[in-house]
Amino acid sequence: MIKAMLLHLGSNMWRKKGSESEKHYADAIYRDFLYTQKDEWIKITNSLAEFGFNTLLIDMGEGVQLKSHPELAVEGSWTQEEFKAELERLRSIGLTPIPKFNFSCGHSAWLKDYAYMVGTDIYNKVCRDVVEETIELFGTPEFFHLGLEEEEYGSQKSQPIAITRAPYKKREDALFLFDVCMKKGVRPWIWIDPNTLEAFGGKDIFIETMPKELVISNWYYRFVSPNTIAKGEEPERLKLYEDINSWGFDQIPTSSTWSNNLNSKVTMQYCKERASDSVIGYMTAPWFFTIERYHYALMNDMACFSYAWDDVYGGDDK
Amino acid sequence: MQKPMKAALLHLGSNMWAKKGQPGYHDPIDCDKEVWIKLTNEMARLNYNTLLIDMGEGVQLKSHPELAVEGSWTQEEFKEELERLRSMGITPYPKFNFSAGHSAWLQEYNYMIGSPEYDQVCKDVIEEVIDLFGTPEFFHLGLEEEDEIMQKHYTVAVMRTPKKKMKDALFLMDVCRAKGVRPWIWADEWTVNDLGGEEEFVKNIGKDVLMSNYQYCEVTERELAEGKENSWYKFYTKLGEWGYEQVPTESVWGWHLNSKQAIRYCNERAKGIVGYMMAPWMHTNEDNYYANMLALHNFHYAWEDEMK
Repeated sequence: MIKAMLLHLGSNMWRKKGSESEKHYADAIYRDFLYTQKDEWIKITNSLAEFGFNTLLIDMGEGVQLKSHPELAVEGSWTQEEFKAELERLRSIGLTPIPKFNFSCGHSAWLKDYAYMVGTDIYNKVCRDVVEETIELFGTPEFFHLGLEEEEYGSQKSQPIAITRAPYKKREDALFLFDVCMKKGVRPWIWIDPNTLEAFGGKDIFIETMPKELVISNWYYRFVSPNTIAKGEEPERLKLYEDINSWGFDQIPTSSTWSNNLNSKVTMQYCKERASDSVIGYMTAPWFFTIERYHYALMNDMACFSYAWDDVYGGDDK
Repeated sequence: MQKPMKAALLHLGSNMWAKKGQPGYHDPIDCDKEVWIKLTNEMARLNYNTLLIDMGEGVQLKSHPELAVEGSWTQEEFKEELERLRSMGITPYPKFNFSAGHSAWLQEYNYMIGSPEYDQVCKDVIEEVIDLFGTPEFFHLGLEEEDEIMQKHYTVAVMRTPKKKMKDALFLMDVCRAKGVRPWIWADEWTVNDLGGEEEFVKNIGKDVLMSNYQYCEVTERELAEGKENSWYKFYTKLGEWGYEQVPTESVWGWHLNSKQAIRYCNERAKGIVGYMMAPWMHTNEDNYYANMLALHNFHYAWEDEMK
């Protein structure tokens, strides 16, 4: 079973170049230099291996210089040689690296000016180029995470320009990206949640039109008590894990310590009981950048997830 | 006390919430000394100057040895630790929570609230601990979360009427004062209501009592701009207006930016601030090592950002 953590190599996801910072999370500003500190990256990934994680989802963004689009790099973006060496090191310590680029209109600041060209041929070409080159760089990974969440206006209203797509357009663009992945033998992977489902046109059309190779990750970060679950009063976002179980997609539920340290345990317990047919693993996403300041935030997230895994799955997680 | 208090609460004892016989009650002690040492060393490195020790069953008391569990520190061991903390620039203060909802450490006495025996035990504990600490400036008495909702999972819930709770609180505070120590309590909206409401609170609770309101949730810039922050946040302002000194308490329990937001809020809008405290609410064991370290670092960075 996949035991994964998402770690930031790139950080230009939320705030486009020229945006003011979000005071809610003041650190998530656009930067012309790579914010990730390599020392911290090494410490965290080594710890992941020690905690028995087997998968690392790398939130790429502007983290690596791309040959097809060198203009997307920032100062300090890793060279491809450096990155390939790192991929080998990760594999040598038992971590399977998987790429992620977020193509949500709300989370693609790494695309720089292309982020404003959604709907154009040039935008589609850039997206294709990035996905194809990255698949080669990773040596044809099993999955490619494409993001695609939080595109509704509410998530973008503090940006100078918010871009949303009609459901049919979002489906069209998503299927285009999925196709790029699948033609290279890679399974596409996306975030899914009630708002994202609505952005796709709703649950029914999502189930009907999306390929079953797609892996989906619902994400819910709060604590819900066993009593509340026993009474059937769990929030819709938690219940979605159970709903997905009957849709025919594989899922990787994603937890976080963003809101509560016990979220991973809640998620795993819930899914083990109600979604085990479709769960192919779990992931934790701390949503803290890979810098020294957040060392303990990242370690705490890793530890909480790992302890939850041990508590819920013990030895029967294979 | 001159410099602002940069404090953290750490658990030595853990038997606050789950009463003896319920899951979550710990015997032996759930404090790992190696983790304690690592955390307190880190506190010193990050220039914390105050440690609030949630004592509970953590130390063997001569007046009431029956309150100890297996592994409770001896007094000699604890005195040595107090000296070590002081040598690192950290002032330790004691906390025993006398809330009916948070005093599982009192074992059977927890069910005797209202009896002279209960009062005697409380007095003995406070007096002995004040001597153990060498007459600290403050003694935290807890006293929050005593309502029915907070105790609904307990086998036996004990709630006091506001009048009784006020009487008992004043008794404990007087025990402290008689030994030259300032009482310190949690002072959130609900606790003030439990004590009879704002008017009774201000009328009866002396201005020497140090207050810690605690609000662990997020407050957005928009809410602040529109004056729509929740009433628990606004309570920091109220406590200051009432003339109390306060140590606002934050946590990573609910929201990781809580320390930063709360410190900024209070610096801008609340009077009487003598410092701030981080309460991770994680027992001091290996499983919670990273959670506790996160809390210490998170608060430290917030302090660095907001207390320039």
